[in-house]
Amino acid sequence: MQARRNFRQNIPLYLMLAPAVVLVLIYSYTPMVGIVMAFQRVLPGKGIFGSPWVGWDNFIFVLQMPTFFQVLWNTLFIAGLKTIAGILVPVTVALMLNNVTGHAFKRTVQTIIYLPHFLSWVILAGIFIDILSPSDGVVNQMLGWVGIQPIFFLGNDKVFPWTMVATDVWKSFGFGTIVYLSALTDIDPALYEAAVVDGASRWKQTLYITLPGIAGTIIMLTTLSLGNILNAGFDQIFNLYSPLVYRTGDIIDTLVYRTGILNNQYGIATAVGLFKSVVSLILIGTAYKLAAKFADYRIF
Amino acid sequence: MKRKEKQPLLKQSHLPLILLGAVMALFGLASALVWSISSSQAMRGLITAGQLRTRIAAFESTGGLITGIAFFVLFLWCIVLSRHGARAAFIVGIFASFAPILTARAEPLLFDTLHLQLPAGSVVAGALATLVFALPMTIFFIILASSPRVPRNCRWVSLAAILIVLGTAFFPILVTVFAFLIKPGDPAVGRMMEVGSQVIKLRYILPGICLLLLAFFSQRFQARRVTGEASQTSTTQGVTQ
Amino acid sequence: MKAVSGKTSLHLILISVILASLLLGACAKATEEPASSETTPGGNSFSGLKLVAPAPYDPPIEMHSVINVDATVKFLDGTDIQNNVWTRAYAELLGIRLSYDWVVDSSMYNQKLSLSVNSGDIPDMFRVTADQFLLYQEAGLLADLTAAYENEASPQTRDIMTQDPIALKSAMVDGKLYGLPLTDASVAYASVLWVRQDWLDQLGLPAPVSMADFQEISRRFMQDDPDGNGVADTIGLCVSKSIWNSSYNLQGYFNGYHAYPTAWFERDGTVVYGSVQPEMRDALLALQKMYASGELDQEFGVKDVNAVNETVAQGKCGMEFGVWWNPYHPLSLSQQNNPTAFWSAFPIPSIDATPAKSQYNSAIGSYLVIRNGYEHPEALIRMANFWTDNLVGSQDEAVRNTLLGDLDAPDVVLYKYTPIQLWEPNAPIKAGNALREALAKHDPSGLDLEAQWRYRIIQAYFEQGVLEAWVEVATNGPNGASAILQQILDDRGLMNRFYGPPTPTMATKFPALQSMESEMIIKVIMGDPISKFDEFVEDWYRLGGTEITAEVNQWAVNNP
Repeated sequence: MQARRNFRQNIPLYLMLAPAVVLVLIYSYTPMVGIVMAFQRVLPGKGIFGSPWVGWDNFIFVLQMPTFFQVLWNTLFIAGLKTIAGILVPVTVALMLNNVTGHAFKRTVQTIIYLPHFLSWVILAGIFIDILSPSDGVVNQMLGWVGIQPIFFLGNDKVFPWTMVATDVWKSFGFGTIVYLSALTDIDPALYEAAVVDGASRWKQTLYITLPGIAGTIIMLTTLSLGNILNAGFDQIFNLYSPLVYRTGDIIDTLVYRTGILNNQYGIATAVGLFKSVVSLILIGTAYKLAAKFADYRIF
Repeated sequence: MKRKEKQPLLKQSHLPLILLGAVMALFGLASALVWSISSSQAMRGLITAGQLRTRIAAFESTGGLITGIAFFVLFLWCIVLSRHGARAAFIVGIFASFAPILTARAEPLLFDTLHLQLPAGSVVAGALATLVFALPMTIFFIILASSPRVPRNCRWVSLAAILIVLGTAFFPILVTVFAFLIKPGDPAVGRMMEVGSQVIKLRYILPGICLLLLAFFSQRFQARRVTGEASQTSTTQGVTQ
Repeated sequence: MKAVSGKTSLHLILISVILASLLLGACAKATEEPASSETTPGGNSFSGLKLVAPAPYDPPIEMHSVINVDATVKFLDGTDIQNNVWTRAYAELLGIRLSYDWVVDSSMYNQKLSLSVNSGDIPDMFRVTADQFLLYQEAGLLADLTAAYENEASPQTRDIMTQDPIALKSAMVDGKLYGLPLTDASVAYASVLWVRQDWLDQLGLPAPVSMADFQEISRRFMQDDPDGNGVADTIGLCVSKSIWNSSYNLQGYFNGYHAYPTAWFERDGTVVYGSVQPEMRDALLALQKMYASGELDQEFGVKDVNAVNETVAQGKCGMEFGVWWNPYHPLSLSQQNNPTAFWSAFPIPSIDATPAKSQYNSAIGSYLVIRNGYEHPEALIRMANFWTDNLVGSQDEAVRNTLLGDLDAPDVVLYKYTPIQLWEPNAPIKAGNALREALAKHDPSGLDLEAQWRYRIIQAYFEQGVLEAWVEVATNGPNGASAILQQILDDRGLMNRFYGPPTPTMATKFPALQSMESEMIIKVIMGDPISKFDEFVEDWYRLGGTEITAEVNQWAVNNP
């Protein structure tokens, strides 16, 4: 009875929601039918209903590629590090900026660190090849001043994954920082006033008011970013890697690209996509449950 | 206003002007010959493009230097022997003696010394070298053409020379600019380029011949005056002949 | 005489007679006006032109096709893609009413075609890529053209189809022809050696003939400061991390040692894979030495083509292995900072007395196909004949102006209106040869419009010293790169023996092997011990190479 009255009251709201729901249904749910292609040898002209079924052949094909597990590990390693660094760095920077009193300075820093977000990896790759060069790159010259031997950031397969993480963080932390800064403004100033009255230091304030205040945002962004654990950043790696670093730098997406299966091999491309989606779903689900259990935080 | 009395271009002897014209025409002729022989060999594949460039560069740097110095000395001599408007003209003209020297050196000057970065660099360098020659020569002829003391025939020759200098200097450049920067691939420009590559060979020859003509008319004017014809009528005679 | 039906021969004779009488009439100032409608009953708009065409279909047939037309393509007033000189020609002269179901930008064509075909909406005649060709053939979508080709293809068409010896073979499945290959010159992808000619002259070095010359040049370029800036910043040989690319590649270098990495070739009766042959070893060792002495960019292993382009633009690059058209891009970049920069092409130098052979792959980009079930598969052949007989073989100015585009409107390119364009695969070579002949004779009159333009440009370089024109000189001028293509085509080339679809093991194992291969090559050059190569050979056979070699040999038996 209550529910029905609620519904009737909210009809205008539901109507407003309707277009979005319809769009999601059409553009996100309907195409999921195409997942069946992962189990077919897709023939043109026959479409997804006429093509022959091949069971798990497409998946077996991918798993049989000799370097697949190395590549899977590379993907997890790079993406995992990126996820962790992608939380730590923006949170730290946001906290630091939050303690900065000069308004103009804060704004300027925000803008500057946000800028790289707009540059494409194609352009950045050219810049990074130059500044990370062991012979005449700026970074190695500066390292030389403090007596460190030049490091071949893009050509040494031990260093390459870390270079990818560092450059990715440099490009994206400005965006994360802004999200956390906006979360910080939601914290009630009265809490800080009370803490000051109680004699809490800046550090104590951060630890007991600020961090708990943005914990929800941190957990939410972390959980969502787990969905990308198999996306180690195709644009970035494709533009920066080389045969020298295949061992540690080759990720699923670049392998699939090089294999050429994107060219009309719908079945295999779909199989890889499905594999990635399933892994992401499991991870997001687990993270959601864990967040609910340990932090008592629910995103949905 | 007092009517200005006509005078020959040079006092005493016309030798420096004749030499100047001859050197200019000969340099042009030699340059045209070297270019056409070498280029035709290169187009048949008998010498490589590199050899062509080496040969041209050798000719233009030594030949150009000698010619430039000769120009300078002869212009200086002309300045000494001339008066009034003619002298002003030769003073301007002396700047043209830098042109042959510059021809082979314009590119290194622009790009190695001044570190310029331009599209169509050699076209620009070529234009610069041409300008160094054409600009003083044009002014030189303009002054002669507009000086009342210069004999009539010489003024007509100068007037024609202005057009010749401008045409031979700028038509090829204009065509090249069109061909490489503005309308690449246009068949009409292609036909103009054919003409341009012939016209460019006349760049020094024609002005040289103009100088020789000037010398010829001026000398004849002087000769008539000296052989006792009345100085007042000489001007009208100049026209009627 | 071309293969034309009797009726058309009659037309031709009639037209010739009329033309002759026109000329005579003009001389004699005759008053009678030859009406075009008299010469061709039915009154088409092409009378007066000497066109070769078979008797048109009667009644006319319908043909649905699709086409890509870019926004830059212009139309004459009153015409559009559905109604233009080509649709009129097909309709009036061949009796084929061609219409386009859709028209898209070139970049969208393949995607749109895939969509269209996958949704069952298949045009009667269309152009496909090599991948699509195999896929659609397997799906049974393509018509068998064997009989149509045998019966109708004109000698001119056959000539174009056989200039590349494997073009037709690649369009056949089980001995049946399923498409007309649109051939590109395969040999145009063979490598030549590009050298900074101005540096060679500066240092007084001879042209490279042997690999020893090449190494000497590389060393001198690095040591002797050929750019004269007083800084040791020049690089002997430029290589990018994509070592099998069309520029800055390494296969050209390996070819000098008679090694053919990534290519399959016959040796002692079997087909072998070039990258695992012993010739690679010496080549790698020599290159390793060059790298160690600083003749290569010390960071070439991470530099992509764009990064190397920068090196070239800075004027630091002395040599590179690349294809014949490299001067257009990227080598023209070197003139940005240095107007006197000039690159010359040389055939690949050889390590011994045997001339080196440049390797290349078959370059069949796409096919024209007919939908399986279309009633007139031979219509495609007739349309192809129409193109080849009238435009490739003949130099008839009036015909070319009418069908390709003419002087009065140089930006209206008429042939873009038809998907059936059969250019000669060896056109770059032929055009280069014609141009060189014209240059030697100092007479451009026999050349077509585009070649005439190239002639002027080369002339401007030689006669006026317009250095920007070196690009044209280096490619099509005397001793230009396209002359080397002719040599490669004659006896200094090696075409990849394998040109089929990937074999089963190849599909799964080859990408990983290829990664191993380029990783090994770059690492050995950058100083890893040569034992890496021996290990690679072993691994290659162990990780699938043996099976792949067997499969390729099996394929070669079936595709002699």
